Amino acid sequence: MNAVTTTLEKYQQLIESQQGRLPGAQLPWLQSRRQQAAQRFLKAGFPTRKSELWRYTNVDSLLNKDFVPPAQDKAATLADTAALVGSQNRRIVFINGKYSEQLSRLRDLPKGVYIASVQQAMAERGDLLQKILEKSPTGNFHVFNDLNTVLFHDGMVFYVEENVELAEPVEVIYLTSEDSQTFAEGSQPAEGSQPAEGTQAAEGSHAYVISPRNLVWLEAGASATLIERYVGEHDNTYFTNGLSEIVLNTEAKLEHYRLQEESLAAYHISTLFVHHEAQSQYKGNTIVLGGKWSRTDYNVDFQGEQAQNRLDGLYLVKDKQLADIHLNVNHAVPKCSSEQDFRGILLGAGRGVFDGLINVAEQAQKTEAHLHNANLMLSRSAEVDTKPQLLIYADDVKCSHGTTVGQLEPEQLFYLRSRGISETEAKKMLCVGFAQAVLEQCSVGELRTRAEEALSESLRNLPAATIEL
Amino acid sequence: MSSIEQTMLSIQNLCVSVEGKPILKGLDLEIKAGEVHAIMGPNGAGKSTLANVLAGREGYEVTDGKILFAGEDIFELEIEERAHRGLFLAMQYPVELPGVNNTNFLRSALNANRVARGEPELDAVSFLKLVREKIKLVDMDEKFLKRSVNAGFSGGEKKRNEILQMAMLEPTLAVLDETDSGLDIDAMRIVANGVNGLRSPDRAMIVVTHYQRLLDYIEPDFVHVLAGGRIVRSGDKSLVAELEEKGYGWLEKEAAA
Repeated sequence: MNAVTTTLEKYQQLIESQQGRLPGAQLPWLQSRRQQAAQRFLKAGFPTRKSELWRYTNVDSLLNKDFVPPAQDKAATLADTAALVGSQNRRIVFINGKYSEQLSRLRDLPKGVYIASVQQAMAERGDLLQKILEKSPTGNFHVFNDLNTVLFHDGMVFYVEENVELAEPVEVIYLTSEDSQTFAEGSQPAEGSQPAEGTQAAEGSHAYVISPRNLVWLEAGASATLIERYVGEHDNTYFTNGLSEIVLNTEAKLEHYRLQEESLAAYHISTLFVHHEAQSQYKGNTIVLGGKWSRTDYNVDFQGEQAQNRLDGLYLVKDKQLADIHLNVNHAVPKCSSEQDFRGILLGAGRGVFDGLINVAEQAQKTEAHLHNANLMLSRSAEVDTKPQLLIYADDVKCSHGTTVGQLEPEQLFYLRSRGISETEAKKMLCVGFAQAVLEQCSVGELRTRAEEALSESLRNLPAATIEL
Repeated sequence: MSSIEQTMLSIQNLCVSVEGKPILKGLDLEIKAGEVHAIMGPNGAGKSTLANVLAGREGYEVTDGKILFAGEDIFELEIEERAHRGLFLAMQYPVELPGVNNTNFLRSALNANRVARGEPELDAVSFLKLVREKIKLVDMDEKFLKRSVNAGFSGGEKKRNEILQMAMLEPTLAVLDETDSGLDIDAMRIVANGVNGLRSPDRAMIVVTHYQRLLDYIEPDFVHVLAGGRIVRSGDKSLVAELEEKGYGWLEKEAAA
């Protein structure tokens, strides 16, 4: 029996163990959706490196670990956490994937706005849930999406009625607690020490797999700002396998800011599906700082003309971290525009993957699409695989793509140092400066400050020697 | 007070090569506090090399000689340590730092110098008060404080930003490398006024320039002509007029002889 089969069997057991425990049993359409996803998942199996989608992203270390869904009967509580300081007045908070009523603030929502946990929505708005899930192009972009559909316990439903403008940003925060990974007796690591490299969840121990599902639906002419954050304020290993479906109806507008600060031992997958109807606008901004291994996929589908999509992103990887960004933008109709600017900062033996694909279909005339990826390498051991691609089948389009991989400019470094700024500080300032093009796209001041501080913190805690040229 | 104590900068037999090619070939120069020295000379004489070696820029190989700055061997000091000791280079081509906010940059620089000298950091309020006062000296709009350092600045704006930094950091020795290059007459007057406002008995300046016109505005105490990698002539400001009239050719011939 080979290793892949064993892993798949392991997940099959995990799925079977969840039978009857998953929420939504009263919704037959959901049950059948879950079953179909399970069948697809078990048939397709996990990707190997022969798969182009996973060519630069080795999933072995993820698959070698044993994960269990969090215990659902346990009350989700968390003592005061820095992650909530300075968060928005309207927020929905999850701990280990489970909705926390105590930490959420959803009272007095404006008329025409529905924000709730998926479990709540299953009980009160099954119709709405079905509408979103059926319209969304989701499903199975890759095998982990099916796994999310099979296993999701909870998540956020965000619904805005026609022509309702929600001015105040809403924040969804996924926290993981200290007990998201526990150790069997005898395998407890010494106080203060971190789990050793390659530590397996030993017999009797568990690390959580959390499968959040976010469903966002803006009716025609609606507008909103959504902040989405993932936080692990500890060194635990766990696996977040998230999936977000976003449907923007005619002339709807969404600003969507994401900040990923998972623990440095965590695995993280975020797959987003953005569905555009005519003249809708999506502005996405994603900042990836955490996770030992993370992958973010944006799938953008234009189904109505004159829609606009703009994505900006930043990834920072330190020693032994991997950040993978995949963009899959599909211009299926004419006169839409899309623009992507992703920047990476790579330190130590950090690894980055950027795979951006813009597809312009034959009928998608007057498309405008610009794809850009820039990488700042701060060490000789860092590595980035960048692959921006434009596939253009229409003949009347404005499209461009570009990629850069570079180092800090010695002239810039000299300039700062000649003003008395230390070499380490000068490098940090230039890195933060490099990131500004992405950070300054964020219109929510509190979040921008948080991201800037987190970035500075990531760069400050490094020994000077790891920032080498 | 002995003359040693008054000497701020002492350059002795300085020899510097760039990419294996000798540029400075035994340069001597003594500068005391309060003095303004102009260094003039033809293109390629090594004027900018001297300025860059003082500040510690990479790519310059010192093959012989020494530089003492306030009695310390400058080659033992890192770039930032030279700044902490009071050395400032106003650059010929100030680089652009996209994404690095000018205010944050000025504050980081000022506080780095203060901390290195054992002084407390300036808080945000005191800093802003100070920068608003100093920016008037170079007649610069406060909007430049909110922008990225030098990014998209015109030539004149970049040079004003250099003098603003100098005003903030209050160096004991300021080296102005071709500060007049690329400036129209109005911009040059503003920059020169800024520099003159910073003249003081505790501060020495080296003004490196190819043309006399900057020296119409910044009057030097001493003028040196650098040619063929050496100082070939020193004098007072009357030497400027002589050079204007006769050019550099006669001195280059003398140096070669």
